[in-house]
Amino acid sequence: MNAILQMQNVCLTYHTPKNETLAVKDLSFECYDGELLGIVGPSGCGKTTILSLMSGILTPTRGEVLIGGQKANSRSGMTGYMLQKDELMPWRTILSNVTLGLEIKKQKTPEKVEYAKKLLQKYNLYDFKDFYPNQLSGGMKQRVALIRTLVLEPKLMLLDEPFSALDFQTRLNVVEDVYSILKSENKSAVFVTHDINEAISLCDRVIVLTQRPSRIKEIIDISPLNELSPLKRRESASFSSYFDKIWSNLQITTEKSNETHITQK
Amino acid sequence: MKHISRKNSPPIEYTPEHISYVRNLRKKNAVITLSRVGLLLIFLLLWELLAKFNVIDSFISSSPSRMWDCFVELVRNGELGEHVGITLLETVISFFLATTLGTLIAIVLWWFEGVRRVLEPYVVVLNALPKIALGPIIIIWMGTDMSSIITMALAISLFVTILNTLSGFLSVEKSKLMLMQTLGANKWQTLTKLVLPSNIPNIIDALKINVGMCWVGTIMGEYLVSHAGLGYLIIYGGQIFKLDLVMTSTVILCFLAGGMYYIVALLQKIVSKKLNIEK
Repeated sequence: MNAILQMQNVCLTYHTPKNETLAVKDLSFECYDGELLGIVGPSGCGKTTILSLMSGILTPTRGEVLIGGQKANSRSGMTGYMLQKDELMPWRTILSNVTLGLEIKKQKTPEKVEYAKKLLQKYNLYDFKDFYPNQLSGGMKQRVALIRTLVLEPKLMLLDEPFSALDFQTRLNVVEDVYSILKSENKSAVFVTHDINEAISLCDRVIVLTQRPSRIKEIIDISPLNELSPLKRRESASFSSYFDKIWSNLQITTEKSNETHITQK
Repeated sequence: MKHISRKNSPPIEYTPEHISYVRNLRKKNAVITLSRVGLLLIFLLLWELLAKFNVIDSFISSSPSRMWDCFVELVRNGELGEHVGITLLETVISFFLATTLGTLIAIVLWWFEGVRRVLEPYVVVLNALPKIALGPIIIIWMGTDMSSIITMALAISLFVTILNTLSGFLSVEKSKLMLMQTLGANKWQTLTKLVLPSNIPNIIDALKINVGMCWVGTIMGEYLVSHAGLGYLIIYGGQIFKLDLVMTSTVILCFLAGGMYYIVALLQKIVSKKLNIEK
């Protein structure tokens, strides 16, 4: 299988006037074509930083981030970023929110707008295309945000806890929606979360990260559940064993880091 | 989950409770409006009566009827139009100048962080300075005509505009800026597609403040140098101890300033509706 994303010994250091923080240390992994790759880690382990590196907003201090064999660049249009909240512009209609990226990339051609409308139609949002965001529910808004990203036809989707701002019920539904949308558009995606359940129900593989500086603790293969939708996965017998596996790995990393913290004191 | 507000909803049958609730609400509002008007009427009536029965000296305090006579006189000899026209012109010019210049300067300061950091203390000090202290300098530099008055009004309103608008620009949500970054937006696109549209409510709020500031500036300018205008009438009336003139001009000023504020408030309503901004 081809890897759409290659992280090669990536390091990133943050600078503040008083401090120098090593956020990511020697991180190497791949995301294959068509794969949904989950990244789980304790809070503050730099998950968003890793996505920013992939999208090209941040440049690694050392190592390389390759998307489709090329260095990550935020202007290249290779990656599509989905944020925690929908971030729809309240003064734009749904359709014009969806085409915001096209405007910015100067690709707002009639064909692309047609494609945007087609996506809205496909995911039951077309009737709301002239509505404003405040007239839609949270789940619908998050789907609009996903379509805004899909319209740009990125090779790799980056999802930064895109469900965390939703209430529980909406969340289950939106996870289901996002899963089916990603699968039907045949997208590769990196999905960052602190919610183990969500990682298992959405992803093909899950990478467990350590506390800062982020390193890989474990990679857990969930491909046996591949054929199941997120809700079905939650019902499957092996779900809890995957959960335990990820949970125990997370526990070890947090405990260890607590110890080092204490000894440092 | 699909909770959608529709514009053309079918007519709804209201319950008696709801109808009586709405009726009560209307009654309350009517009482408020009546009280507002009543307060003014009682005030005017008291003023008039007290003056009439010489409880207060109408030479110093004037009276509503004397003000009305003065107003009619001003209209008849055509002075009113001239003075109001000049003051309005000065205020409107300085209002537009302050708003456009202030917004433009705020954009420049937003765009160039270095320039912003260098200029920040200067803007803050100039904003804090009581502008009336600049009076003599302005007169000597600009002369004793309208340009002096507009400069004074600008001095008063410009820095407030810059500071308010800039702080609005700088408080755009970080996550929205992140969105623009992830979409690969350049600075110009970030400005035109995010910072400016999201700041339209702020800018209109700045306009509201500016209306007041420009009136202060214009009248202050007219006190200093003018030969015409409402500020001139007030000063002149004071000098010759014609309180009728002072009071009448002040009341006219009230109406003009209130009217201009109302126009801006109306603009705010229209723009908010058009841009779907809830306030």
